[in-house]
Amino acid sequence: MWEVFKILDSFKDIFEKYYGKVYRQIALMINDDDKAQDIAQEVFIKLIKDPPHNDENIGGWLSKVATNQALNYMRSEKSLKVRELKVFQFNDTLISPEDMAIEKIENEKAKKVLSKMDRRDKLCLILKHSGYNYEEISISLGIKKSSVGTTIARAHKKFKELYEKEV
Amino acid sequence: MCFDEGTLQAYLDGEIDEALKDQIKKHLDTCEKCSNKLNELKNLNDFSEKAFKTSSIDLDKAWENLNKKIYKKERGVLNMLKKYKKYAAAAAAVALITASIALPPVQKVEAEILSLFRLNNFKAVTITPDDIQNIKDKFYQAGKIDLKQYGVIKVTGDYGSSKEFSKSNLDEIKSYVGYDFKLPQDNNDFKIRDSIYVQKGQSVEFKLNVDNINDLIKTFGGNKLLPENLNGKTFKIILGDSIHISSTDKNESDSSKNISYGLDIMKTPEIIVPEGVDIEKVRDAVINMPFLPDDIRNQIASIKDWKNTIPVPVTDADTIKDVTINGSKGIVISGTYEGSSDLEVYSNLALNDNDVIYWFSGNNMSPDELIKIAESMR
Repeated sequence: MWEVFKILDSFKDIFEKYYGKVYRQIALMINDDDKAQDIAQEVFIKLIKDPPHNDENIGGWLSKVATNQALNYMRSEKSLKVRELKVFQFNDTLISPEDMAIEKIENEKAKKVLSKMDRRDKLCLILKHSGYNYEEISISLGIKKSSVGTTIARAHKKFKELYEKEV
Repeated sequence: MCFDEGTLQAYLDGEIDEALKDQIKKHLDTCEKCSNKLNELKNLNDFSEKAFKTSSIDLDKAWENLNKKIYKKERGVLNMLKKYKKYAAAAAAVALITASIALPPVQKVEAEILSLFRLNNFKAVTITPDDIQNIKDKFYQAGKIDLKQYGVIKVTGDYGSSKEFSKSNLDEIKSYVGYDFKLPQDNNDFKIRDSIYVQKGQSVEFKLNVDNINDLIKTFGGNKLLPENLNGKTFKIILGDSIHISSTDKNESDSSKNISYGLDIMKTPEIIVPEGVDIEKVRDAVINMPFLPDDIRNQIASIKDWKNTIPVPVTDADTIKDVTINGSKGIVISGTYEGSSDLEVYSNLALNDNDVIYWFSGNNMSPDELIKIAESMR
């Protein structure tokens, strides 16, 4: 109950520390960056609404919720069969449209490769490259902290292998 | 001795403790095989990093949007209080803290200065949106109130620092926290995750400015005042080391619905009250505080064993049930809320067994399911 105050005080801190990671994780899981923003916001709304009790594991908790929300979204999209490649939106950005297109294509390829990987390896890679630490990854995936390094190393190898096969 | 890939990867990611780090560093200087391995890992790492580039985001904008969403959804703070039970709890904390202070000495620790008591029972106190509106209205009428002038709250202890243990080393955890505790048994649906976290204890000190509080009470038309000799004295709530456990997800991660429970374990909190304070009078004043809505006042006043009871703030949307589990008394709080896509169920179970508090929180588990888990504690 005393945590009430801590949660209120630190919501902004938590947001600043984790929003980027949560967003990145979701953006890597789904094919729509705008939607990824929406889902990331849902994750933080859930944090206020129903925060975890043991808030020292906040990163692990957030990434678990993010995973669930992203999977949920993918399932609903799939069933509606409305998944189309989004038309690029050119905002006031420093990156030229050409660069952006190239980046986008590479990104699509990475996601395609990811989709061919074992679920645990895939998520582990996504979490790692979203910036979560080992403890958070271990909580999120439900694996031992001591085996996170091994899982990452193995997944990296697998990823590169599949990526090079993909044309 | 050479290091395995996982260890080298952790070294690369800066996830290794200092002692081992030096050891690895030294070893890499002399071992070609390992340093080649490390290079290979680094290349693989960079390769993926590059492939996973995502568009950057504007954090300030995202924060702004999030706030807009929260407020739009709830149409203002008050509705938010209603829906977000934690916030409701914050409002109720006023009642909680004051009620907690209003507890008598049971057992003396430092005979001359202090008295001590333990909070052993739970009693739900319902806070409705109307109650909160009610309190707010009253405070609004009185103009802007700066809470700082009514007292000082000091929290000591390192919040957020926790130590990880493995569930296979229960004896180690018990000797670390200094008390015995039970754990639920694993079953086919839920297993306790291997990592168990222990958070260091904290103490919370209140020093009240009695004159200012009494002035406030008078402003609102109250006539039961806090005893003068309470002024400047320190109340202390001691929270011991707590243990945090979580279960595996029954649905595993391919389902959007998380079905699992968490369990927090801690020694019953102790409150130390300065000697010479007439606790009955304090309780009287607290219960009669004019800004407390009547229904909350009545609820707090009706707590029979108020000396040892923690009032648990709940909303009127929660379902409350008293339970007895293996001879120990507890309370179950459950309800539902609208998730982003579907209805989610939550249930909490608080239990006191041998001066140890067990707080189960179940995601998408029914109260009965949670009770069954609690009953399996050994």
